[in-house]
Amino acid sequence: MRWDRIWALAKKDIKDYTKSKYVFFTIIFMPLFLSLIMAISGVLPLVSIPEDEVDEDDFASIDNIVANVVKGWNDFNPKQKMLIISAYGMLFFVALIPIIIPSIIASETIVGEKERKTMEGLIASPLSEGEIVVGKIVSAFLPSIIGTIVASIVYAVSVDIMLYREIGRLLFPDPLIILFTFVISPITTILCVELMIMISTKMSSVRDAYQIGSLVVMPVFFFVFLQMVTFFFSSLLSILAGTTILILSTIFFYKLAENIFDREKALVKLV
Amino acid sequence: MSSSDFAVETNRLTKDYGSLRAVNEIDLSIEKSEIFGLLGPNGAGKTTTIRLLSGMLTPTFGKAKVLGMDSVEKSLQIREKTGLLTETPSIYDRLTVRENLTFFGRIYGVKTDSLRKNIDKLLDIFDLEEKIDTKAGTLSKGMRQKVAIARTLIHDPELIFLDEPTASLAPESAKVVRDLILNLAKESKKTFFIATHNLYEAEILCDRVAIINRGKILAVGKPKELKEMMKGETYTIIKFQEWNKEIENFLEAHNYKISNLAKEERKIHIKLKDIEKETPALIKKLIENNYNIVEVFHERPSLEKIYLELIEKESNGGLN
Repeated sequence: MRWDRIWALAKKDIKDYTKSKYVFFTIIFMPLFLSLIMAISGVLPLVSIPEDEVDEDDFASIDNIVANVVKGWNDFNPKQKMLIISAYGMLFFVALIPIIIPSIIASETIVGEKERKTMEGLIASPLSEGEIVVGKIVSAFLPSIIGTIVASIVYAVSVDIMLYREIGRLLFPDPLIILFTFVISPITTILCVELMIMISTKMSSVRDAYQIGSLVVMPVFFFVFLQMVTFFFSSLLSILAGTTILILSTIFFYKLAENIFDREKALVKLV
Repeated sequence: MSSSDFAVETNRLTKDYGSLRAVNEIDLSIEKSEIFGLLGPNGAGKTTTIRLLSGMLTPTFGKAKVLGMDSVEKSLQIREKTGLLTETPSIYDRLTVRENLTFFGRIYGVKTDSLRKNIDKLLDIFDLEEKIDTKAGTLSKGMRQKVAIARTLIHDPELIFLDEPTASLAPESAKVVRDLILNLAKESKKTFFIATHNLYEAEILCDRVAIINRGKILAVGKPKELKEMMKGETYTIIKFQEWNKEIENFLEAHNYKISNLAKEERKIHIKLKDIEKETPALIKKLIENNYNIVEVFHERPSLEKIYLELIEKESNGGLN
């Protein structure tokens, strides 16, 4: 595997798709928009609710779970508890970013190559199947990670600004947002690109690939959701087990994607 | 001639796509520095042959050696040392000409210094200096094809495959591209393998031509040699000052085979067995009988005629 070739392919893809307004908008504005909207629409309205109107029984079922993660949980009043729970709840929507961005980019860079009839030039080059797959992963990985980090920071800062006066301390950064940003989202990104590569072999238009891809990556979102929920049970073993499953899945799907992205099969599909 | 003198050698090279035999037991030997043309109609197997030779496809059976390397075992090395212009230009519309050439140079492993030199050289050859920072998508078809050929040559390949290099171009752009290929071939001494359905292109560009249909090679040779194959199909055309029924009777009486009679044009087409000997004798007889001749000329079979005839024979199952 030659990294100079992989990097050349990834660099070309990044240059290419950043010139597409649709993709550029998704990479730049979607993380900002999603994180701000989630914070403003999901958390901010609750700040104005009078303290005596919040009934602790409404969230009694998850009270013990959150107590495992948030220090001094029992010292908070019901309204503070409700605000903290809603802040964590909205964070799950930010977890969509490492799924949406790579899905869009991978559709654009893989099916886009087929749609614009540039794939044969790649297949005719000395790039191996593995190098093409890794190059596509890298080109989707970078904006996805940058987008996720930006979204996490924006979300954490906005929630902290909104809730500081209410709860008297900063809620974020905390281990969950760090786990999500630096462990779960990179693995999720890779997994999504691999799935999109497999879908792309069957699709001939970017739009179709994106539509089908949106459905196929849903289980990934479910798994990410599950992994983040696991965090609340504060079992290090379950977090490690979940992360290991995610890593093993990326290895499995890499092999599958490399096999599916067979030079000959890809060419025959182009005919 | 030793096998190292050949850029391409194939032995019963065959490719099946399911039940369809796209390439059928092809045997070819292409010398280094030769411009070789693979001529055939759409769907004849030209693109599949190129894909097999450029290490992109694995043959169903048979073998190919390209630049002395086995096309299956050394496919990566073959792809490194060859350049392939695909039927579509395979350039990125949103990238500039420079970005396209740089990208292809990088994936072919060209070092930065050489890449800069190669880009400058190609821009000069293809007259693209002014377009270097223009997005490829905004260029005309002819310009895009120039960029596509430039990207095919960016790593200075020894063997260049061109798949229908002028197929989608307007006549004037096609001429520019053909002239470029001819100049490149003359100056660089590289081997060119050109797949085309354009007979004129094959005739003016190629040292040798193979005619392919339904995956089978029907004939191989220099355009002249192929024409020689159809020597018997040469017609002697005589134009008279005025048409006279007696001329026809006279020729028939002397056992000349009239193939076509164009009375209004005052022309007669005759098939002679031995043009060299029989033409002067015929002219002499006509003059002696006071038939005033305006002109006499021979119409030799064009490559087009040979091509169409071979394709037709093969399609009717006449060639084995």
